[in-house]
Amino acid sequence: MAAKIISSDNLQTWINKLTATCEVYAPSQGKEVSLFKQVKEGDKPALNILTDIPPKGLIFKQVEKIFSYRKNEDGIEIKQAEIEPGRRVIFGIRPCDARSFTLTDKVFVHSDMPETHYAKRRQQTALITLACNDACRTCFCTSVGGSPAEKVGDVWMMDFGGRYLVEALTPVGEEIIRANDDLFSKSSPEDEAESLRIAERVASKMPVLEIASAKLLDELFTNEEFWVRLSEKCLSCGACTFLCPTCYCFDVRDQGSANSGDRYRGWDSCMFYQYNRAAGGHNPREQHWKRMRQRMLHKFSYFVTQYGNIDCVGCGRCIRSCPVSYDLRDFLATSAVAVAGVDMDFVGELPSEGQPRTCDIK
Amino acid sequence: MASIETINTTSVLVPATATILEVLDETPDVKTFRVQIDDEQARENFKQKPGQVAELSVFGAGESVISITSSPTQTDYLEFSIKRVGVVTDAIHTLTSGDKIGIRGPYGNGFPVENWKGKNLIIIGGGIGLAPVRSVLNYAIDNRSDYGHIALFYGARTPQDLVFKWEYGRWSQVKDAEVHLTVDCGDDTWKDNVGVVGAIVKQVNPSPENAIALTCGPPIMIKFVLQDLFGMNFTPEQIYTTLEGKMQCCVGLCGRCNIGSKYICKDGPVFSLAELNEIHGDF
Amino acid sequence: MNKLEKQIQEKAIELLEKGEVSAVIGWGQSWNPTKATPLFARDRKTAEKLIFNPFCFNNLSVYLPRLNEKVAILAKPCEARSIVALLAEGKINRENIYIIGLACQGIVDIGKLETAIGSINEATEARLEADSVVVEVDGEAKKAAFADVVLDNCLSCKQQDKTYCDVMIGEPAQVPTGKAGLIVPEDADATWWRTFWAKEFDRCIRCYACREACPACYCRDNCAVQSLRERWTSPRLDAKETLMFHALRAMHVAGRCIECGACELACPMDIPLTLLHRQVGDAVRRLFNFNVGEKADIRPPLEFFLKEELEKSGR
Repeated sequence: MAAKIISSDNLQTWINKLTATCEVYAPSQGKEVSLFKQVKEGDKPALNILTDIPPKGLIFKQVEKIFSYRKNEDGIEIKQAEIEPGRRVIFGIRPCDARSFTLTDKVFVHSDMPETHYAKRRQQTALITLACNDACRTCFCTSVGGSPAEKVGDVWMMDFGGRYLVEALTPVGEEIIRANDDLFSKSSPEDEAESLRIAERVASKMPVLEIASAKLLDELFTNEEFWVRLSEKCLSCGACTFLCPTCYCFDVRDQGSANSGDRYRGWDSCMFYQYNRAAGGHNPREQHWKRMRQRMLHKFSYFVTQYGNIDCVGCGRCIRSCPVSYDLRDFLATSAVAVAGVDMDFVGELPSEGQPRTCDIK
Repeated sequence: MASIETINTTSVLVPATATILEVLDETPDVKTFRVQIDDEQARENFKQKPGQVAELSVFGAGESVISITSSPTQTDYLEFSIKRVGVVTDAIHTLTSGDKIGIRGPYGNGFPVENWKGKNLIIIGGGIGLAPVRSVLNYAIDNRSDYGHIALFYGARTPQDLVFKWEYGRWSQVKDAEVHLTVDCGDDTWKDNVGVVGAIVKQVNPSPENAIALTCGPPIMIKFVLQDLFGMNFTPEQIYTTLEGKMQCCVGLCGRCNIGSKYICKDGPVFSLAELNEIHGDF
Repeated sequence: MNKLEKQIQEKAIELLEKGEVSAVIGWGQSWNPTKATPLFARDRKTAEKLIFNPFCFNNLSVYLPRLNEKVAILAKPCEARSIVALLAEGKINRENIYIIGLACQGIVDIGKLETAIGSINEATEARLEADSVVVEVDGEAKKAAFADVVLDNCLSCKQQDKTYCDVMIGEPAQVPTGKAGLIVPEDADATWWRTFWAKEFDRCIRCYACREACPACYCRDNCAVQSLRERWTSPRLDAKETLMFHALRAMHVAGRCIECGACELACPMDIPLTLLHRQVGDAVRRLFNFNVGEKADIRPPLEFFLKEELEKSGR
């Protein structure tokens, strides 16, 4: 299906019409934080922001009931919790957030042990991705394999100011556009050229950070001083992991008695002390710097080895939400130097900012 | 949408139900549970390999990953030897025959028993660590002609802490096999060896020629046993162990057992020392 | 760099080069000039990056209980009171800390600032000019009166001229005057509070950043709510449970909380936690006539019973 054009007014009409047939979630600016909220007919989403809270929780719910159990005369009856049927659309998701689902799908959908609840919600959900016309100071998607105009999701859009270039990327995307065909008009080759210009301009706003290879980072594991210094100011809370669109660690817990109750899957964080603590008391990651090491290496080394991608989309939410403003890009820059075996006396400044580095090793 | 060919309608996190047939008291804090999966088809499908684990549920308390101590050649039930250490294992210890639990599995890579055919097996266990390696021991005994000489070295802190006492008689009768028991501290009734299990291994000095050594027990025991085995010229490829790190979902999803780029629940829990040497991780 | 920063850096370098401390804990520049970040300076080069401005909101004393080395710590009145509270509880060793008191004129409330001048995420520069905060965004200098954007907490600070320290840098500053951002109605009753907290805690994602940023919550890794054995909270994480967590924490820090606002500033969801702790603090002051953070040798009232209290209760 060829790319199309939709005017801003028609876009609002499109959103309204979508709300009639499915649950539509779109960015919304609240008084305190911005997040993805369900859109009712007539609501105008805040399409010009990168939300504080990623849409991760719409598919990988923070608390998901797996099943309920009940004792009866025959034994124990287990009833798996059903996912409410129905189609959903996440409208105006950024390429980084859409890409985060692609990464988490590798674990929960396309692995040899797919997780049913995530997979079902994922299957019900269409992504209408909105390319970025600007990059924040904390964005670094181009350093981790993404781009501000990445064609990911079911439908891809770019804002030209007053009108949008729209392209279906999957059969589901085509179906969504075809259902509202009267709202769209033809695009021109000039539109295509303009989209490339915008993509190029936005991408060039972000410096491409050097990231050490998975193998070298794995070897950096044994340099304890590096990790101790790196995580000195980290408080070991769970803010970064919970607001990270690609973090997916979870805990399974029961709520109820021996006679009846439920089992839940809930978000957990590798940054918590209890995360790895075994029942007998043994805790391999008792010190918080070991947990920081695990988080960084999982995202930038182990996941690469296991699934072929860096488990980070460069959205920068960890940087913005960290209570001590820890900048993950510091880790990337200092580790790139550390693996090269360079004396860590002076690490240098972040390339584009001219801002002094906040963490020096040595 | 993500292209999803088939979504299992049953979540991998939902257990099958099983009944406890019998409970054996091993030590003051260890019990062996004989368990049978209720559903016949599920029972059929549950074909474990020696060294694999299962996720046992006590509804209301939670789940716990326990190694399957019975060999797959034991088809009447599954055996789990469980030490009471936390919420779930405490709850399991209150259960008796007739009670229901949940079970998911079998998970893990198991011991490479096919590759070991024709080799001599040296099995070194400490405390509750005998439980996972017992599956290999009994498997080899039940497939006796497939394996060479079998040597079992087993020790615990005191005679009260020894598990599977009811098996020693049978094991001692096995052809072309030897059983060495020891305790750190004996008592008036103890007539056998006294000393750490590593010392007995050194004393007996089994040959590394055409041999596999598998060991499981408390970390401190494993540390010294490994040193002793190296001293006896065993190579890292010949030495196997099973890791008991914290596992939660047991299907490679929740992230807890991630060590280096491996998951203990999927790529392990059995690892050769050669493989472990390649992994940088927090153990 | 202002004069105060220069003095701070010189003092830090002096302490480090003399070998008196192994680290100076202060603040450095973060990815945004309106956000400072804790900085552990262990040598001259890093000490030259120490800054101090109205954006240095982190309470640095949170790091002290877990350190084994002798350190110097830059201390606004907030840190100083936290240190006194930790000393009163025996959680830190006075010989291991060298307190560099700072003349703090107040900390900027980013929420209030953004209400006044818009988003500051793209700020390239931020400074105090006379009575105003000036933030440069996209080349444009945006101004707001400092009194309008200062933290509510700072408005009631009484510590300007009696900061507990080993050395004081800078002249004691004036207590800022301004309007409180969040006004609780005079007739606020239980129903009002219930509705208020239900709405606020709806946003709570249970990341525990509030707990980790709090110097009084030194239990940290062994916090009751995350205990593996005792299941105090349910996995359902619903509103009731979340309120219980915060109420639990408020009770556990009662009499030990100096109301510095570190919890609220750490919260990624902008939940006004200080209000809750101030309510409990008001009750402690009323019931026990006790002001935490003033005397290092008086234990918090909820840590022990007075003889007459026991007698009165009939036990």
